[in-house]
Amino acid sequence: MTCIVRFERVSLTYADATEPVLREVTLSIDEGELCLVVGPTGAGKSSLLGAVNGLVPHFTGGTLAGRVTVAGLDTARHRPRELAEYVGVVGQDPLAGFVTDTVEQELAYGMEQLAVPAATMRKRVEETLDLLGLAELRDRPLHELSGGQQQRVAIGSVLTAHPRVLVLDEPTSALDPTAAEEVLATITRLVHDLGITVLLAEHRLERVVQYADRLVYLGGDGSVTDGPPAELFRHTSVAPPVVELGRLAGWQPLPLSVRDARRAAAGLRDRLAGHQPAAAVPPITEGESLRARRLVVRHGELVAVREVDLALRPGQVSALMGRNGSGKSSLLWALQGAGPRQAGTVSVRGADPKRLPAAEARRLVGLVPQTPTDLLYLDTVAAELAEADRESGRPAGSARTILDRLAAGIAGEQHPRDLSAGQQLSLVLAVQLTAAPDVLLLDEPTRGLDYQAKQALLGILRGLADAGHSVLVATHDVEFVAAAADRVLVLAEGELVADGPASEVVVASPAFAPQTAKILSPLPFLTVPQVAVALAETAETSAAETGTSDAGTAEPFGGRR
Amino acid sequence: MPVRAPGGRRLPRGLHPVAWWLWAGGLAVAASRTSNPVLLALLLAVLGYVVSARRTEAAWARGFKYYLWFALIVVGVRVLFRSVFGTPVTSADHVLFSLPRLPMPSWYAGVQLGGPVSLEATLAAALDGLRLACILCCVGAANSLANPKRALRVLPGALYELGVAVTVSISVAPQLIDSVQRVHRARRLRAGGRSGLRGLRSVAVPVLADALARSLQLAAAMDSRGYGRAGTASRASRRLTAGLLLRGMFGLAAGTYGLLDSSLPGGFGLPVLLAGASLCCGGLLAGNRRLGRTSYRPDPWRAPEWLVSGSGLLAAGGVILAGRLQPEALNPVPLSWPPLPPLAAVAILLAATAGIAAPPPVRLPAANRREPAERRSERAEELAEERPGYAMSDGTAP
Amino acid sequence: MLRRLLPIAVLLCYIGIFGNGAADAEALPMSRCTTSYGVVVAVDFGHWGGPIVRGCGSTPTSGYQLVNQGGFATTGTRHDGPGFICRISYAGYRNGDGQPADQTCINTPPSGASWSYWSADPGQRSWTLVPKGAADTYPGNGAVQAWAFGGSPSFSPDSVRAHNNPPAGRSSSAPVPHSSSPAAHRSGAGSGPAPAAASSAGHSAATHQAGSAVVRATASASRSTGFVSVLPRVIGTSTSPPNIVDAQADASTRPRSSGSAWPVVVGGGFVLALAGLAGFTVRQRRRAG
Repeated sequence: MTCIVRFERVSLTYADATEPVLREVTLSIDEGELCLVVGPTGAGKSSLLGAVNGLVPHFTGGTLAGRVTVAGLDTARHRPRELAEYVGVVGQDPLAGFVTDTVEQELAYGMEQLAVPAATMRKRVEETLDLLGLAELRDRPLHELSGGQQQRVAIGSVLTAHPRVLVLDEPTSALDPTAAEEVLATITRLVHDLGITVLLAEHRLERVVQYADRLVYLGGDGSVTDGPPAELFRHTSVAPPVVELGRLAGWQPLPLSVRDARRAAAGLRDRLAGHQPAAAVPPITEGESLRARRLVVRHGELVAVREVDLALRPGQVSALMGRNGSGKSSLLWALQGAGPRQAGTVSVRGADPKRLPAAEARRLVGLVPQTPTDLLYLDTVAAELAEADRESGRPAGSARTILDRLAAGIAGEQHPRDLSAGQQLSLVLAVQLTAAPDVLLLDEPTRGLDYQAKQALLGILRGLADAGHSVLVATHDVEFVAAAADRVLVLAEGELVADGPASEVVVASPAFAPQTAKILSPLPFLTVPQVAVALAETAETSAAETGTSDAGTAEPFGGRR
Repeated sequence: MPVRAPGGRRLPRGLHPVAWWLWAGGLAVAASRTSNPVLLALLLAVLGYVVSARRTEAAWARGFKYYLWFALIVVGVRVLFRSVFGTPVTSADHVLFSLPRLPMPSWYAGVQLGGPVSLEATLAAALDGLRLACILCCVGAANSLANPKRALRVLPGALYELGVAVTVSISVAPQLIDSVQRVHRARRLRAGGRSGLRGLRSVAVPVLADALARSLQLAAAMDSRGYGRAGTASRASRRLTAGLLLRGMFGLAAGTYGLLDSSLPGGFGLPVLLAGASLCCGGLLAGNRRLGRTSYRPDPWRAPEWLVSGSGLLAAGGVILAGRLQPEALNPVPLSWPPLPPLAAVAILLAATAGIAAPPPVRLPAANRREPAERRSERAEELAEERPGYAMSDGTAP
Repeated sequence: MLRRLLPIAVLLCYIGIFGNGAADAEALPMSRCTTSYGVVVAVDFGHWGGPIVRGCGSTPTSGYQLVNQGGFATTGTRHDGPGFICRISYAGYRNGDGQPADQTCINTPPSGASWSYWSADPGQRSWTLVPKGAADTYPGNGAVQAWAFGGSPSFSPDSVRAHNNPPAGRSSSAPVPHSSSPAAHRSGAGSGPAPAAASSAGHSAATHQAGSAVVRATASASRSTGFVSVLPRVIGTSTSPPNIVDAQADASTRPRSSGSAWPVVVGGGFVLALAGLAGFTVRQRRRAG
């Protein structure tokens, strides 16, 4: 095995930072490896990946000590553009990286820069179109494609240059689950078919962890450890549910796929048999905080929401699920009153938020949009909070109090855009909660959040529900729904097709089921904490059974197009 | 010779965009030289025929009718302005109606507002408007016949960066509009209720922050894909290119000025213009030499390209020559039947051969034909779902 | 609605045609003009070796009307409309062809090669450049107006003025060259626009600058309005005594031929043929697709 990417005692310090992001990193990645980079937000995953082709520090600034070599070339002496034929980089938002406007041109762009002869270019474009299943999209404008297609084009556009290393920085974080599956399936296929070296940072670990040859774990203090995933995952702070369950059950070696875990879990299932998960559903209080009747939202010819009846109860966290384009966002915006609504009624405390001035409507229903930063426009967190107090007519400092309860330690003088995605979400939540609405709607809040941030959000929502708010979360994230929601509503083609307790709706279909449920089926456990509670109850800590794991087994990708 | 398929029919392909632009440019020059309504009508008919015969089904190729509407507006505006800013009449003119006369202050006496409007003045204005309209339609025809993006791609290497900037801005514009709509809608959620500068800020800051973040991402993406790696040219050669281009541009400007301002000695304009042009060419060549870049699927330049661009240039030459020989025929007086100068008419009619000389346009297979619209509406559905108000505001996806 | 409005519109047009205000003004024989009645207009064809032709017109009238009656006619440019006086013709001079004949009158003529417009009130001994359009200038009784090509007039106002004050009806329609000495006039007009002692090719720097300044200032106004660009640039001055000819008031401009309709028919045929061809191509493509 030849080593293709080598980090030698690399330390990285950004210009205005006191602490280095990476400290004395020594790492060598062999040709043909799929290397998974994990770590909490802000631990320097993007910096590590950026250093591979020299974007860090050539493009971002900062000081890099030590040596990074790619295919024998030192990034200190070669700029990113000169490494283009060795390293292909794909970012989070595919649309932001497109230079041209049709699929075919985009695939050719990199080769044009590298002065690849026209005949070779033509051949490679055709090959790549087939390899990534983009052939019938070749003439299409890029902005008309779905998110998953766009990301596949982005991958294809760097593949045409025949790089030896592919660097993917959270390629699915801006995508919905279907698109994410599509992209991850493409990546794994590339690894297996082309033997290309891949460095991948990814939130949805559960989807890729089984294919990883090596795990690079960033501890958050600048330290980097690497090794086989099954070993390293024993101690990481970030882990998918299947790993957490394995850790809890003490399985050896740690299973990385649902299939392996299920084979290892026979004993666990026996032990848990007869136990019920702790009743997560609180007693449903009487009364309704929001009532919608025969709600219709149309966008031109398109019916986004079709005569939906809906009631939200205080003290309950409800999840709104459904595929892209099923009308989730339209429903949320119509409930808040800020979005269009062609027919039907919404009533909160006897009033219709749409007919009220915006300031009063948000006292009834608060909405956190898909891009929370759309609501932030001031220079500092303190200014945003003060503005929120003013808008809501609250005494000064109330927004600050709420924010500290949601996420402590956000300094007032920080710029809102410098916060992490989780902190931004907390800030916008605080701004919206300052008006003390009865009902809180959140549109895709888990996009771009890592496991820890999701855990924090979970606690926040639970707390809000306990304080008597009604919470409705539109999301694709099954694991999050399993952990957070009392009730699940499923929307399809603008119609409500399912409405019931989370434990029933989520397990009913395999596609919606969380990993824990798949492993422990038919037991009604949805999350690892539920299992932990049940295990503690049994109070018998028998030795963990060892299950043999078969390497190379693939979990079928249900949602792949 | 045009490539022929075994069946005897020519293979469909796109004509080189530069050929279409030369053709349309020639016709525009021809149109600018005459206000003879018969010639202008002929020219419009030629444009209409060639566009309908050789345009594709792509979105950019459907714009000709909008140019026609715009041309109509141009004629209207020209007539309106001639009426409002009064034209002098004599007792021999046919006065159609009189507008109330607006007295102007003495220091602005040069402008006359209102007054009698004569048939002669209106007709002259309409013909002049028609001439402008024809030039506009020539541009429209070129835009509908030549793929604008492919046209950008044939820019000389030294101007490559300019082309990239234009392409990027074209593709970023819809995202920006999207961003503005989204943020504008989100304002109600916060009920900021501020108006004026503060309100503007609440929209502008998130949108600009978005745009800035996106442009940084784009720059990083372009850098890591090899953009600008041709900059291995030595400092001296880069200086040479810049110097040649700058001087050439100056020469072009000075030469054009010299040609237009006849008070300058006659020998000034053309030589300076030519010198400037050759300096520019030299600069572009010097720039091209250092560029290690290739082009994906470059457009070929074959016989049809020669024929099409030749017919356009011939039209220009014919009309210019006719203008030298019989200027009155190209600019007839209003209220008399316009003549049909044979040389100019034949030259313009020859340009219609482009409709036959150009290879037939590439068309999508019949099965695929209706799909883009459907796919687009699907995508619109998805977008509308992600951002309500999206589909509502403009009906379809941009 | 449209149907009901149409007759009214037609009626309005009719009234417009016959209720033309300019009809009040008419050309008079030169003998009708006196120092206190009528306006004299003099057009200097001296640039082409021709005479100075003067005519007489009744008031109220506009400077534009004056130079478009009694045998005079003007041509505008296609670019600026009839208000920009590009050519002036007199029925009795060179077969009524407008001068300068070599000017195409499509775009604005170059500076230094266009007509300038001058005026002198009763009693005024020198020319004043008119800063307004001829259509906007309403000279009073006894005024004199001059049109000079290229520069300022080579003659004084007095040399063309109607000096006599006889009872109306005195007939002296014969063209009588004036006897006043040009030299005297030139010295008398010293305070007026520079009468150019300079050579024909070069002009003094001062004049040139003043001239171009005026041109600059008025060029923008002349685009869409009836402003007459005034160009006090001096191009050659004849030293021979001015040859002044009285215009024949009843001289009519050359009738314009209305041409033949055939070219339009032929052109229309071509247009129709092309349209048919276009329609055919589109239909065939639809069928093929």
